[in-house]
Formats: sequence, structure tokens, C-alpha cells
Amino acid sequence: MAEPRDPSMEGYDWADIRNSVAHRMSYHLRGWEPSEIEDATQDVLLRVARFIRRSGPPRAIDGLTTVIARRVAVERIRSRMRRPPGRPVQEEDAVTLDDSMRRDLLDLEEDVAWKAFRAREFFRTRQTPCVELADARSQGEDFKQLAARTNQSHLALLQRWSRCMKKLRAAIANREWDWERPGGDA
Amino acid sequence: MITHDDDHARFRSQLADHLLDLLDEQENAVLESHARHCPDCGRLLAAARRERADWWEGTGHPPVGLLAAEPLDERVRLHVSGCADCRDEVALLSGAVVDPAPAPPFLPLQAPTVRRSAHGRIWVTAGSVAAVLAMILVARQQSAQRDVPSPAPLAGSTQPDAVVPQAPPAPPLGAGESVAAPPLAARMEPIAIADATRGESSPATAVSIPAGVTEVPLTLPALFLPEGVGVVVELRRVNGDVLARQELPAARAQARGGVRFEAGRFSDGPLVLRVAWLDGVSGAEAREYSLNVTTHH
Repeated sequence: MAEPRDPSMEGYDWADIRNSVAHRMSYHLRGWEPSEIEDATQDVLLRVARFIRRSGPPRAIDGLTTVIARRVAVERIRSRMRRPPGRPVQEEDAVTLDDSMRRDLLDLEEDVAWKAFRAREFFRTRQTPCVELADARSQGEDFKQLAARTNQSHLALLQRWSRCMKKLRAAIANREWDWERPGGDA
Repeated sequence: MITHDDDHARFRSQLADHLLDLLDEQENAVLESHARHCPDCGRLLAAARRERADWWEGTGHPPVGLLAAEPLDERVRLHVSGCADCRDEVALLSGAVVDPAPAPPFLPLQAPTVRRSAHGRIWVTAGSVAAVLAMILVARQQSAQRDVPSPAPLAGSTQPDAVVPQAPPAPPLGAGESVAAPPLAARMEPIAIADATRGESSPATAVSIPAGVTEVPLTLPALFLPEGVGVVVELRRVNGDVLARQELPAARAQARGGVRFEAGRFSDGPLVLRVAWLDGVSGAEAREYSLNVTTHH
């Protein structure tokens, strides 16, 4: 990670934070290649630095790094699960993301996290039949798998999901559902 | 008239909705059309699709930034009140709870092959012979002492019959034996946690803690954890408050009496034992077991 020059980033022992995060990621991603652990460590540090830059000093830097490290580890494990067996970690056609693209993707991730969270809350409070579908997708289970597991028709699940989305869109458009993100989010 | 800048701003604001299937067909078409004509937006859309096949996956909880905010947004607070994982994260972010540093890497299950030099072999052989001789001498001395009254102990000497406490040897990880424990004021047999029948909630396991016991050993049901994973075991109240927490290797957690909590952490009544781990195959996994605790502190 580049040496932080932003005043908001001063006052932290970044070498110590880096060691702590690297140790934690080695623990969570035990057995992974060192390069993968290092990449995940960099991802955590990027998110921690971004949090501080946008929201100011955290109340507990250790807690912040712990929470972000756990989330990144879960994301990485999920991502690895999706990779077809036998496919190498480094794809030959993979495009290296520059810093600007990484920042855009982090913004997008937060936007998605907030909207998916609010969508699920909408289903939970107003459209209970949709919760099962949202939860399945959240767990990485596609509707075909869910249909097989719950002995339902795949087509019926797709149609139900479509109706769920339609109701959510209508509720947002009619301002019946509070969709705006709170200010000052990181 | 709609300009490129309008389209560009709309693309950025609607990309998350697009990835979550929240746009209708017409809105999707407009967004994809813009991505085809705007190189920056096209690259971002391609990168987003490459990054995740399904952007719904792993969602359902507020972003970290919102959990760290003080005070919590009302909508976030409502979610947190019913989400144990988010409560943990809020506690960590506020500094109210500190997650202990992860345990050092586990020992391999098989002893590593060590190359010994010829010099080393000589010492090993000599040591073995010395140990056998010492055992023979001790056995002879003990048989002789059966007929001879033991002399008064000399100042500074060790009484022959005195038992020198020794730490029991640690069993190999995954051996299924009980884990070496520090000396207890009063020992307690490990309590086997009742498992759930598939599709049913687990029956509450009765935990009766006698007076004088300082540590309560628990034996988890078979969880078939992957080798080498770390397990987080939490003792919780029914409302989700964490009373005690520990991280330990799966092999240790699954050993008989492998999970140990201080007796003082338990309170009378129903409690929950939560076991969570990161599984390389199925992601984050957790099981919860009900306990019915009676303390006699």
C-alpha cells in the first residue's frame, strides 16, 4: 500500500495494522497461496483507508479492521467457490484493475449492499414470499437449485421473483418505501 | 433533450439497480446502450460483471460504514436488533468488544519429517538407553522401598512418594481425545451437546454446573468440519448477547471436551452455544445449540 499522505490517515501505525491484517487473513484463508492472501490483505487495507478518508477516525481501528477482514475473507471464499473446478486462480484473460476502477467498484459494492439490504427489508416486512428467494440468492443459491431443493417449479420461482421486483419498483417509485441512503456513508 | 452527461449520471446511479434486477426492461436497455457508447461506463459494467456473477450473493446486511455510524440510522438499528452477526460487528466497531488475535497456525496432523544428522542420531540413541536405564533403576528402588520404612525427609530434598504434578502430554490434534486442561479446582465431565435431527431444532442440552467448578468442558456434536479451518464458538444469551467467545482449530473444537468456558460466564436458564466457521466449500457456516443451564456457584 502506498504511504498515506492524507492528513486523516496520519496517526496510525500502518505497518502494525498491515501486520495485523496479514496475520488475520492468513488465518481466515489458511491454505491459500501467499499471493492470494497478500491480495486480500491489500483489499482490506484499501477499504480501511477508504473508510477513514470518508468517515474520519473510527472509534476502534482494531474493530474496523477485524470486521472488514472478516467480510473480505467471506467474499474471497465465496468468489473461489464460484470458480469452476480446475480453472486457475489467475485467469489469462483477466484484466488488471487500476486504482480508479477499484474505487468505482468499491462505491458500487456499497451501493449494492445498501440497496439489497433495503430490498430484503422490504420483502421481510411487506412481501414475505419474496424473502425465501432473496435469501437464496444472498446465499449464492440459484433458483434452479432452490426449486430442486424445495420441490417447487423453477418457472414458478422465476415468475414469483419477477413479481417481487415489480412490487419493490412500484413501492420505490411511489415513495412508499424509504430507499435513500443515510448521508455520510462510508 | 437527454444529453450524454444525463445518461452518464443515470448510468452511475442505476448500475447497482441493474445488477440487482431492479430495473425494468426499458431502463436496462437504456443503461446497456449507454455502456456500449461510453468507454468508461462500458469498462465499469464489464468489470462489475467479471467481479461477481450474482451481485445478490452475500448481501442482506448493512454496509460497514452504516454499522459504524453513531447513532445508527433507524432503519439500520431495526435490522441490528434482530441480527446477531450485525450486533457483533457493531460491538467490534464501537470498541466495546475486542476480537482476540487469531490463533497461530495449527500444527500439522502428521509429524513433520525431520532429517537428523549422524551426530543427532547418536544423541537420540544415547538418550533412549539412558531413559531405559533410569526406568530400571527407579523400579528397583521402589521394590526395595516396599520393605524399608521411608526415612524422614531431608531439608531441601524431594520426598520419594511426593507426586510431582506434571502437565499431561497434549494429544495430537484430531485424535479425539480430551484436550489437556489446566488444573481445575473441581473437575467436571465434558457435557455432550445434543445434536438436531435433520429439519428439526436441536433439543436443549441440560448443563448442571456443580459448585467449585471453574471451567465447563463441552463436547460438540459431529460437524464434519474441513481439516484446518478455524471455529468461533460463542456462548450467548437467547437475545443474542455474547457471554463468552473463543476461536480454536476445528480439530480441537471437535475433540471430547474440546470447548471450554469459564463457569462464571454461565447464567441460569436457557443459553445458546453458537459454532461458526468459514468453509471453503459452502462459505460461512454456523450451528446453534440450545442449553438449559443450572449453576450451583
